[in-house]
Amino acid sequence: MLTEVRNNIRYLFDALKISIKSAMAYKVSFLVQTIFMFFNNASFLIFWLVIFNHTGNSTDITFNNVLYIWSFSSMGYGIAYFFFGGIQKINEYIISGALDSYLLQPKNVLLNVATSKSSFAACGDILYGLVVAIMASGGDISKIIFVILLSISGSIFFFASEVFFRSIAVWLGDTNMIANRYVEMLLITFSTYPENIFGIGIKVILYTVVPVAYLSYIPARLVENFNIWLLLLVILVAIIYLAISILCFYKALRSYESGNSMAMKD
Amino acid sequence: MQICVQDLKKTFVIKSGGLFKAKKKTEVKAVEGVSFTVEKGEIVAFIGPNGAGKSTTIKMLTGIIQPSGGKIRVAGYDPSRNRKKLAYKIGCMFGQKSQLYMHLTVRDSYKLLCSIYDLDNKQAEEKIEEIANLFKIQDLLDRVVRKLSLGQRMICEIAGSILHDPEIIFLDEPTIGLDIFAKTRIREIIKKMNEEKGTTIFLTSHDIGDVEALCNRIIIINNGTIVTDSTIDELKSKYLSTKVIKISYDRDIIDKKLEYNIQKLEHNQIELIADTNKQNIGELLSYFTSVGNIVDIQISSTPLEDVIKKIYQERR
Repeated sequence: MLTEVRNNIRYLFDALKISIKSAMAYKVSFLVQTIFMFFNNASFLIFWLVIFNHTGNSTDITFNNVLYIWSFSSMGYGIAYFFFGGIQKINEYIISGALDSYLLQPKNVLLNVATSKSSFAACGDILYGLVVAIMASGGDISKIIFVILLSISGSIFFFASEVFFRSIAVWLGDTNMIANRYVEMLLITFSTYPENIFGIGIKVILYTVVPVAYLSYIPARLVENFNIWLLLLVILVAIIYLAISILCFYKALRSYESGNSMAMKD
Repeated sequence: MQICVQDLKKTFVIKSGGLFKAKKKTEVKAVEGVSFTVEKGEIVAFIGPNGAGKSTTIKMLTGIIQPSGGKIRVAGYDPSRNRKKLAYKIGCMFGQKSQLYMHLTVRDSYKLLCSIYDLDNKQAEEKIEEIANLFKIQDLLDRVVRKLSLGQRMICEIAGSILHDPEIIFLDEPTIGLDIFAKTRIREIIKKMNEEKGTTIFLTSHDIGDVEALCNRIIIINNGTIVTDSTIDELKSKYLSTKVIKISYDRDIIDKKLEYNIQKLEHNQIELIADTNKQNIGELLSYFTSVGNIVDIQISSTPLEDVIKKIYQERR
């Protein structure tokens, strides 16, 4: 049992090393995408800076709060896609039959697929989230570490959403657009705006079906005012979302019908 | 017994219908009650026309898809229940799918495959060297996969599939799209694996050359059911009783009246398709010599490819 765990951990590191190496095969592209993603995110913050210069901090929304939610959103996204970039390929693998190669190997299929790719641009998101966390905390190391740790739980929501919406491709056909819209238009967009600008109706959604609250709002609150129950709630909700997505993936695997199209790992 | 399949079935449900029409479900029986066994060290060809159920059967044997019915034991495991344990015992090479990483070198791809099969760094390096020597691919190890030719990639794929010393290898179209030199090389390698390591080989191919060069047994599947399961020799004696006899004479025989439904090809040449089960070859040859002075004679069997084509057509 212990040997199996050790072998699996070693394999995960090896897979990660290989997928990063694969991404780094195009070094210039890797650097350009990282830098562009960094500045793409930074441009949004410039807008917020301009707004706050005009209006000043209100009792509901502060610039620091905006910095923290951006930090959680970016870092959570970055961790999920840099380390587990293969999750974005699940629907494609299901449709093309490329999941076969992973099913033939004696490892956990989901982890195997997830670690099979690394997103170049996600590196820029991690870097950006870190820089913003440093700015928001004023360089407070304990707060920065706390942000990094909570970003890991935040990354679970991105991971779980991708796994869920891409696994259902087994029954629905190509779900690429659904997964992209859910993550980009709902998770990312809502997690980068302070929750107080939304009415109660939208807030209910953001605390349930689109779990943005546990990804950025509550973590941003926890950095300033730590509360163990809120922290446990965030972790519990992350575990529930993850469990649902894993169950969905394995349910989908039972219905997987493979295919005969030409496929190559990249 | 390495593979035991009993009454294996697979049914796919196809849904049809438009956005505003009720969905209609149609059941397609891809595999219907297939049964066979394979002993250790056998090289078995599992062939059939496109859509016969070959790939579906292999995918059920390797745990990729779940059967709708029947029993399977491969290397002692039920593939649908013990997929991970089975994966250590089998190696797979699907000609249309790659297990190598196209942006990485062959060596890096192999290292990851070794890690998948729990080999530590030292064991992995030793294994890679051993396999590279066996397959004579030392010069390919540090080349990026996407820059290999198709033949080189196929050889590297097969080499990659046995890094963990599997007991059984499933090869699905291993020579697809390859030239005659690469095909010959791959056939030699497969033969060598079987002879040196005693590996059981389960092969599908549309290239009858692969079957003739490698296999001692052939299973033919068509429309989801097994239509023939015999040794190559049995198949030949059963179906290759037809001989094509071509004879050239020293002079024109155009005016002679011939028996035995003989075809005249040229003025001095005749051809007869004879069934040795029904006709006595000796009698035929005596008759030919009575017709005139023979200067050349050719007796050939029907190619195995034609036999298999005939079997496919018979059972359609």
